[in-house]
Amino acid sequence: MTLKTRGRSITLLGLLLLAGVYVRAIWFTPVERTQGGAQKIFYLHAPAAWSTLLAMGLVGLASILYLMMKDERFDRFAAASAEVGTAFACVMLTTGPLWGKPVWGTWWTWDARLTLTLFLFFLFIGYQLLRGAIAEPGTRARYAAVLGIFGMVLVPFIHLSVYLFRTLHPQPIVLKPSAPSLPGDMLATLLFSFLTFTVLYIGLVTQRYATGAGDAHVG
Amino acid sequence: MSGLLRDALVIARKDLALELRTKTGLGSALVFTALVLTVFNFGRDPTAVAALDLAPSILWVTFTFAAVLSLNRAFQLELENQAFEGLLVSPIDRRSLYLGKLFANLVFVGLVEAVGLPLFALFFNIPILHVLLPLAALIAVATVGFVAVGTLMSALVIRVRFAELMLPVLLLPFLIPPLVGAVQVTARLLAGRPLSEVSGWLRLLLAYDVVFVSLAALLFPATVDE
Amino acid sequence: MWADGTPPTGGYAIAAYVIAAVILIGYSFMLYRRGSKAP
Repeated sequence: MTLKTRGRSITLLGLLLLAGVYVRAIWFTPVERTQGGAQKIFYLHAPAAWSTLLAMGLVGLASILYLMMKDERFDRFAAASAEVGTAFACVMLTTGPLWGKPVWGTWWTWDARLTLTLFLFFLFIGYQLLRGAIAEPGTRARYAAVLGIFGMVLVPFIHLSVYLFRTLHPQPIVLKPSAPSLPGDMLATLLFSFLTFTVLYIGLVTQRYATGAGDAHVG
Repeated sequence: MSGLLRDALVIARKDLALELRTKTGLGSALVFTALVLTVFNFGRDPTAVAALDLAPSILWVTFTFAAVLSLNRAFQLELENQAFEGLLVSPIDRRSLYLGKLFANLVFVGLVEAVGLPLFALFFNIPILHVLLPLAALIAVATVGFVAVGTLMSALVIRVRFAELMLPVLLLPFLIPPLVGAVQVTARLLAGRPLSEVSGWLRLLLAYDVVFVSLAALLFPATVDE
Repeated sequence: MWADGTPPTGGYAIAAYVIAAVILIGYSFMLYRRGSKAP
């Protein structure tokens, strides 16, 4: 089984699992009392954030490995992870406001998760723009790797900035459905979704990696 | 170690000599800064918000744009004169090259800020003399962060089309953490609050500087070597 | 799904679920097509 086929299989599995998540979240998970149906967006929103963060972390790791070993496979992987990360960031950035509007009354809020994902989105886009702007593969791989590492290192600083910002400017009291305080059914759905999104990440990156051989004009 | 610094200073001096001889770069940057401040003045409603409330934001957004603009020229000179290849062939340690560029950029941006700050105080009637020293120190710390990352990013876009646009696109996400910190600390300083209130932000700024200067110096060779 | 007493915010959930599915399925399909076209 070629890598491409394997990637497709994993993605297919991920999509089937996603369907399972949808079914479970919609019909077999209780509705949250104060937020109503919109709370169920959380089951997609948080795992999407996780996949985005995972994608960035692996871009950074692959970048470091590329600079150390100059194996172009690491470069290909980084490019794949950045593109997949962008897709997950889009999911997160669309579901976030759709959740925020009914629950918090505002489409956008600079909370930790949304802000970090927005930054990751910018970083992924910038990374791919840079790749697209450099024709020579060796230079492109090196420059992209440098940018990838910088991006990964920036993440804790964003997190810290948001944290400090929020302690100075307390946001309106918001329901924080953090995992430990979720009742059993909801927690199970959430964990199932995290697993699904991880599988999707693996499948999509594998596919993208397998088809990334002729990267010259795609970037 | 001293060889590293010595080489860096030689490179910095050469860069600055080139820059200041024509005066076009510095002059443009200064005028740009003054214009941005002017735009900010007309971009607000003076009856709605007091200048003092907006002051930290105005100052730092202006400095950020001025820094990005100044950084654009960081490697342009080399590119134009094809002096870059000559530099690479020479036996200078790559880290010296980076540090030299960093110093030169710091001086350049520092000059722009040295003029921009009094202009800002003048235009918006903000008293700064009573906190001048801590404010200057803060500006120095934040600027080191801006310029450290910016110098490296400008090396990445040196041969790229639309470099003037690519540089801000790549750089701005990295400037936001130090920018936020700088604005918060400036606000406290101007309001006469004790600095202990913003110790978290100061620590963030310092950590940012240490981490990113080191990272940039470490990775800079990858941008110029084959 | 919309239990008694809970606010009617389900519309947003539907929109979010649809958009997320479109993005993920769409991107998967895009990669599939790209894989099929490659020499």
